[in-house]
Amino acid sequence: MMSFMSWRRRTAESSLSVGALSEWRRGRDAIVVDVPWADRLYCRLREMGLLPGVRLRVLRTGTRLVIQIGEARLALRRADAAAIRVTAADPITL
Amino acid sequence: MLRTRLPRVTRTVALIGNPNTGKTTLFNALTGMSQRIGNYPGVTVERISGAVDLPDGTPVELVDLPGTYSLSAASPDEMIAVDVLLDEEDATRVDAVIAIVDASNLRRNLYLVSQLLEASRPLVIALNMTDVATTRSIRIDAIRLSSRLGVPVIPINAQRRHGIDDLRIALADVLKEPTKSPSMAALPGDLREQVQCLVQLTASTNGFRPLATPYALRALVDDGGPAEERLVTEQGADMTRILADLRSAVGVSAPLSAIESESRYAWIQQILDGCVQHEEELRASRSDRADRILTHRLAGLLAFVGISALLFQGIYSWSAPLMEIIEGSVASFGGAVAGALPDGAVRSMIVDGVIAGVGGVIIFLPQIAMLFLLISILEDCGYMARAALLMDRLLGNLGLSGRSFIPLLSSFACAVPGVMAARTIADRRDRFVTILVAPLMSCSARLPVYVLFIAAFIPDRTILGGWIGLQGLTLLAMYSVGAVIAVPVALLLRYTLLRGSSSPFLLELPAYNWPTPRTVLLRVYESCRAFIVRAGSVILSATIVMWALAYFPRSEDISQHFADERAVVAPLPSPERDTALRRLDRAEAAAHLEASLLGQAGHFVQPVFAPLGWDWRIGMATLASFPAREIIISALGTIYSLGGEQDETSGDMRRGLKNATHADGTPIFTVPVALSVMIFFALCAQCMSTLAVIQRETGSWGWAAFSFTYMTLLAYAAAFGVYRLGLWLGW
Repeated sequence: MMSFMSWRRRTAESSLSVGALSEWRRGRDAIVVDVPWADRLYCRLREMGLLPGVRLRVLRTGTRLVIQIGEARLALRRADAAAIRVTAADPITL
Repeated sequence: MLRTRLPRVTRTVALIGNPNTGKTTLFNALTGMSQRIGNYPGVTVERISGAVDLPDGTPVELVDLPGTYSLSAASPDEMIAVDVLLDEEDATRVDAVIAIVDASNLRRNLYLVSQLLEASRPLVIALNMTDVATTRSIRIDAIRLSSRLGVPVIPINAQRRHGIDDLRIALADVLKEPTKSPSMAALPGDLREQVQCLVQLTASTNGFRPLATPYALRALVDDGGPAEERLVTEQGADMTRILADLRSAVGVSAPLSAIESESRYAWIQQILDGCVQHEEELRASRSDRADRILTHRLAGLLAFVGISALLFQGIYSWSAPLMEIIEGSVASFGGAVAGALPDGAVRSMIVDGVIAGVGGVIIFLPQIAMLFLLISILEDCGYMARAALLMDRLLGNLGLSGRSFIPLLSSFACAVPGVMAARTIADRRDRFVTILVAPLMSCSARLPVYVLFIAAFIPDRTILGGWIGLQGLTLLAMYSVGAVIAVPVALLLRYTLLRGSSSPFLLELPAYNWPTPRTVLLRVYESCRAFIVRAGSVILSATIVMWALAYFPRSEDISQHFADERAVVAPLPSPERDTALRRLDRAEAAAHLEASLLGQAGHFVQPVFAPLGWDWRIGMATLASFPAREIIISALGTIYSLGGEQDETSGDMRRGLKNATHADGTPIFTVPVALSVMIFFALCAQCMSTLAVIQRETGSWGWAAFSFTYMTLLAYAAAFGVYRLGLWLGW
């Protein structure tokens, strides 16, 4: 129970410089802020480890995105990535 | 209820794991050449199994489950892993599970493991130390991990075959254990309680086995998913309400699926703490550098076009020498058999029916082997995922995904391997649409038909200032017509018969690595074997039926008439006599064919083909070429009394077609007729091999019949349109 409560809190905290994953620059690390609850795709992404607080990197931009989570590289459609909100991993680069 | 379970001689073990973890490599290392491919009952997914030798001599059948990230299934296909794991039927029950886990991506791989721990099956974890993990010096304390998880963890390297014997020993040990008690440590307490509640509820219902824990969890968490659907079907509509009550009893605002993933990853974090050296930063890899080019918007597309061209070239021409050898040996074998048998129905059936029919199937074998060799190499080295990524944009507009590209491209060489290549598409609807439009791509068997008719009837002229030849343009038009028509057909299918939300596009790009020769060759071998055994049996029977229709009834009058004619020419001097005899042989073959059931059918269906400008002979040749398009060449050759041995480049053949006339002396073949025949063959489904493979891959004759029907109607409509247009334009 604690784990997802803390997740809700994190989501509320990080309203500063939060953007859509689809708009993120290539090569810049990001921290996941929010993944939608609804829809099969986002369930699968969460099962694959795309959870709030996780660090990711955008390796390819365009209509199809490639992101790195851990050692995995995942390709997804830009339209689907628009609903995933991220924030800068490293505040200094802001 | 106590049931006495007789120990079965052979124990069943399931192999499960995330995609791209080396699961197939491990499966091959454990089973060697003993693999068998079957189908899971009721679904079209292949069930691959093989025998494993254990040190204590226990016979084990290892079942390779489809690669999966989680037990939460979205489609019936994905339910297979769940069904096999949780099957409680004594005959098919899984006795133990091997979970392969990729050391370089341990966190995500343990997600599936946390779900497997909730099943009451003994579990062995094969920790695959890939080269990636070794070079990254990822250090994992396997012993500590094992004690924390409560199951054996065996470090292996599937590709180098390290640790395989340790895995065998561990497997023999767990098979001695009775069923283990499921652990739900990864789930929050409230959810655990409701799952147990559901298990007890079903246990108290009369006549049902209590639900397995993971199954109850899926029914509870995946709102509206396949597990819930099945539970409602089995136990009545009350279940919907009960599940809703249990869900709200968990008492959280977020959907249970979000709770599940969150708490599992929290649990994984605890398990890994102290077992693995932590890597906080994201490391760039060599694969990333390669992908800067290979998935680049422009450079990537160019590389993709190059690789596709190479693939096409490989299927199209590298397999040609082998095909010629097969063709030659089939012909000489047929000749030898023909020489050894007395003239008559038996000889004709064996030589023209069986040998020619089976030969016509084996001829495709080099193409299939070549296609699967190249595809397996591309798949095994990791490029295929990149190709799917690049093509997703184009095919996404058709309601398909990037995965459909390779099957469609392969179909330009031959629809049989193309349809088989569609297996890599996970989503059922996508796969079916791909399979149904694949035969529209202009395969190599259509080429002889185009070549013959273009050379005979399309004037050898250039247009547009001498830049483009009319003949080449016609050939290009014939090649593209199918691909162009496939677009509306795919869209139509997606909005009618195979309607439904298109599967979300989410693809893992595995790290590039050298293909494993063993994995590649086994895949080639299996595809070839499956093609010969299954498609072969269907085609063989079909060709024998076609042969019989073209052979019977054998009219004694015709034979007698030609015997008399031969007697007349017998006294002539040698060269003239031989020419006359050959002419008589052909004329006799043509006369028999016209009198045969097929010939009668040709006359009977003539009104159907008349609107296309065809006479009864073209209609009959089209009927005769039902087993394979290219048969029309030899059929037309026989019909126009040219003898059976004709090929499309033969001058006799062209002259024969040009000189063929109706009873009133007007030519049968005009430019509009030739175009109408060509376009009919460009779009029709006259290929038994393809239909047999469609049946095999979709698991139903219904879809094969559907393909045949829609393509034939399409071909007929297009042939009619082209013929009328040609007449109207005065060609």
